Amino acid sequence: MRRIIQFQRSIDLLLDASAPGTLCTTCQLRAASLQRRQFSSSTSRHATAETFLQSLEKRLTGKNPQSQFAELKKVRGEAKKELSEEEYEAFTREIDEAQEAPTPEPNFLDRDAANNPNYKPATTWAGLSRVGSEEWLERRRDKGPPYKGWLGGKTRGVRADHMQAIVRHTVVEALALQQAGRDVLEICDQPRGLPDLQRMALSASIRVEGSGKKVNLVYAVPEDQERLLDLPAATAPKDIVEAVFETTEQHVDLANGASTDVIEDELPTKPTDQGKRDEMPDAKDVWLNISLDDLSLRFAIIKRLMQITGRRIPDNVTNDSSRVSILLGALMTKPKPKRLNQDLRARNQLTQVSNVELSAKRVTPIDKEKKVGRWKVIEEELLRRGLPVTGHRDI
Amino acid sequence: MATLRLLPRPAQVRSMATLSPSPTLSQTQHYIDANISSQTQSSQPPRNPFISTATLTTHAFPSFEPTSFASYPSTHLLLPLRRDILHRAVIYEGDSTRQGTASTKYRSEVHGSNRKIRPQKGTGSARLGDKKSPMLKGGGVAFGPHPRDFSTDLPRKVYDLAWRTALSYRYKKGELILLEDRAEIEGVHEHSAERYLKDLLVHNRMGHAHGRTLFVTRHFRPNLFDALEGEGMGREARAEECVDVDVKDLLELGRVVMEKSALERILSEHQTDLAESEKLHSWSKQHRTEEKRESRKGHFTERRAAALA
Repeated sequence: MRRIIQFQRSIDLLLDASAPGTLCTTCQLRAASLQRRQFSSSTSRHATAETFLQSLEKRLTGKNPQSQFAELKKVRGEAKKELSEEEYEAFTREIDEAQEAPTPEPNFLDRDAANNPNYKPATTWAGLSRVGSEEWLERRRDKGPPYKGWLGGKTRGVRADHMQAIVRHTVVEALALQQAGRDVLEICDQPRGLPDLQRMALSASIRVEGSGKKVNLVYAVPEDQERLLDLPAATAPKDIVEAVFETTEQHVDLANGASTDVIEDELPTKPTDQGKRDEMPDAKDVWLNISLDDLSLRFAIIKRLMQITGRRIPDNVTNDSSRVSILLGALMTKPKPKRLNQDLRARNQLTQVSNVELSAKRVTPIDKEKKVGRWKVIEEELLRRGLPVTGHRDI
Repeated sequence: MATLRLLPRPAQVRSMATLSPSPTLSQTQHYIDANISSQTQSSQPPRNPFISTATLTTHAFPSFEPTSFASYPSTHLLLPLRRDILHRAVIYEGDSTRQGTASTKYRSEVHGSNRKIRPQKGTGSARLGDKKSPMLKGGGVAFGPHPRDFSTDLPRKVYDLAWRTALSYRYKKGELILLEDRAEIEGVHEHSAERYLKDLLVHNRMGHAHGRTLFVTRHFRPNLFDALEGEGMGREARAEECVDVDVKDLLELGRVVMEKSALERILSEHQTDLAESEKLHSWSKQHRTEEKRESRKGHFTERRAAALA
């Protein structure tokens, strides 16, 4: 009877869609053997560009996840060149779906002593799944959706020169949309991190008239204006941020004198033609004086910058940002450290003094005893006598 | 708006007295328009040029995606920090919150007889009255606590100023987050609500590790409030209706996430120290009128420029 109950449980777990991914080895083995006998699976193949895709699949099924990611990036670039637009879109959609799909269950038959002569039962519990705790029960009971926030979970540190480039191209894109009479908020929906778009935005020169309210954009290539506004369909949001940072790094490193083999275009810091001063790209700080009194423009730029940097821009900064320079200054300012020891370490104060020690926490008598090495003995003796180690005993 | 206009004069009556030449109707009207009408027409006081605007970003819930800007006057959200006023308000709230139920018995309330324990003289010991004396064991307490009302008074205008000062302080520190709509968890199973809310707090850096968060709602939000009643959720965040929130609550936790309707309710309730023209509803009306005027001016300037070109 017991064997039947275990078998039934395995079938139920297999058929239950909400079963957790972690099962004990016995149940997994029984479920897998049942699956093999009763169900069949076949992989679906697509009929478009099979030869090219098959070769790409081989490159993508490497074991090392880092090499897989690097390969994926190269593969996307190559696919874009080789395939037509529709095929490329279908290809990227497949990859995105595959990345989001749940990982298939491993082949547990390898863990069965009958099938695998090299199988050894575990002697410790390291790596084995645990069942039966209160947390495990809660996770099983939890049938709800995962939380998805608008901002990414992790922030990334941005260099000052990168931040300047990011703010500049965001401002140019927003102004381009505004001057074309379109909704400025479109910059938040579009994959603005694509290399061409960013290059076009960074190569446009800005002429500011008056007190920063009237702005003219002059494009290095006249066709850039139409292409900047002719936006492709939005891809997954995570790609936006990655692409923005990649291309920003390329542009900024080039301006700072890094190797030129990455891209051919240059940032507008160098004059295009010595003689024609009027058509030169804008002077260094002209774009910083652009006025952000138009609240719709300010909102769109700030929302887009939050999307790219992953940091929430506080309302007091938003309120004071009547010019681009103020906004940029606020974004480039490092937050003040909250603890004194962090502040002193950041300013490199008192770290060199030999009789001063900085500590993250309050130094207690127990810490002092631990430092000397006496604490283990004290703790052992207190436990032996049945006395409380910390605090006092309730009498 | 009433305008002063002259009625047509009645027919002239001849008399023997010499009459000075009377001004014409148009001259008199001109005099009235120049000198008197301007004063009677503008019954409203001139606009205060020192009032600026505080701009807040409204967010969607639960994604916290920015949706738009909301503007409020500087008299409500850009007040200077007055620690003394905040201190007075917090003490006032603490006093009014006190239960005041501590009680002891005086010597008159202790159960026992009033009989003198031993004679006044002759025993060689100190003189004693009844056994309920506070000097004796089992006696009453001399000046012990009795149930009483500990509430103090604070001028209403000072208290209202404290409310707006607390909100201004939070705004200036960037710790006031406004929600466009209701702060309610929808479409999530009740068994998952706690986990969902905890994930929300961790993802947006609003949980215990980042100083905790106070959610202020306009009305009771059952799913949100129930999720925060779970074990351990008290150390992550709290939720209060706007009628139950205090100045102390606004200052206590790491940040305040407030529904827009709740903020406007609080600001409207706590502005007795302001003149009528500086209150929120008057300012909003004026602000909207000015915005319309600016946009019309912009359109007019563009049309005029297009016509001239």
